[in-house]
Amino acid sequence: MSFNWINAWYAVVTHPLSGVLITLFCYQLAQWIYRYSGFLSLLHPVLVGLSLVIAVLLVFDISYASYIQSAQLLSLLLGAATVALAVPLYNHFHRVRSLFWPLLLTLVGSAVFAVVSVVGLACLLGADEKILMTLAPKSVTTPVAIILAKEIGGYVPLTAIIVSITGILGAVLAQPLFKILGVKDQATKGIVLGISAHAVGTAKAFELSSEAGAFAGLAMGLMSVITALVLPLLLPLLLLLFS
Amino acid sequence: MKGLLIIVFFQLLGEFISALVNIAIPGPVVGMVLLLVFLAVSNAGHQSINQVANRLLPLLPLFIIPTSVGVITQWDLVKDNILLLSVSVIVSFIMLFVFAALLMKSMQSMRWLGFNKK
Repeated sequence: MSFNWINAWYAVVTHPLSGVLITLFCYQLAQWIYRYSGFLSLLHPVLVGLSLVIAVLLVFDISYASYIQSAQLLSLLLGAATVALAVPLYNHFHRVRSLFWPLLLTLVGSAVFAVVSVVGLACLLGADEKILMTLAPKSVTTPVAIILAKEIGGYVPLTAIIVSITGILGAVLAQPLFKILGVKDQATKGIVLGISAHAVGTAKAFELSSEAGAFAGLAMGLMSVITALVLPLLLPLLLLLFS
Repeated sequence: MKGLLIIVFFQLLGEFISALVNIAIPGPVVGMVLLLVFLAVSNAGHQSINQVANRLLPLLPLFIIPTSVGVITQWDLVKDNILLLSVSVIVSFIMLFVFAALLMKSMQSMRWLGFNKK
């Protein structure tokens, strides 16, 4: 019996699900690494997972175009998962209804500030327009940031990575910053984490207390919605102002 | 199953409305808001929607990774702007964090907003 190794290999790498396999494998590995590191924020499974996928593509000399085509199944579900974000948002909303108005005011202020601060800063540092569009949605949760970056014409993959890094910054810097600012209230901690560090911040807030976690989840969800609403109004204004 | 039907229905309804009124708000975000409104005004299908969301949302990282990997086609861009990007991301993160914390603190001192009744 003779084995046709080349054909067998070819059947796997050209299969319409090979990208799904690579992604699942790398993410699983990243989760193990995260667990064995004792949940070290710097080794967040999204960043480690995507680094591993990049490594696999480079080692096996697979082009990004063929990878993304065979991982289409996964990116297709991004939209549905974004819609599903309404569910935790609704559940958290229920828990913290009495604080709705101060929360909403803080969120609107913060959503505007988030966009203005990063676009203004990057502009002063000499960024071109496409990079500004890449940075503008950095404070919302990754699925929404990807969709927004696509809409306003940023470098979408770079936005996704910047958002992940922002989340990790939140997880690493939250405790020292809370100490410096003298924030002790659980609700405030949760809200600030949800606003500045989206999903990673929300996970961190749940580590602090379930009250902080609920506030963070609500803040993260509303931050995405409000940013999506204000971004189309703010950007033309900002571009006019800074260019 | 019914939950998945409702979620995909709202996704496409969102796409439909987003294209219809030609707003710059992406379809899935419109769908999310519509689903939120639906959950708030109707009692139907909550359990089923919850079930699907609880299955779908833990998988979010998997849906994000393929797009993020696209950065390998943008190495030069990252290399040329690494300092600008790092400074912008880190400094603007700290600015937003401090801003949100101070804003929330000042809200807390305003009793008329109802912050202190728990």
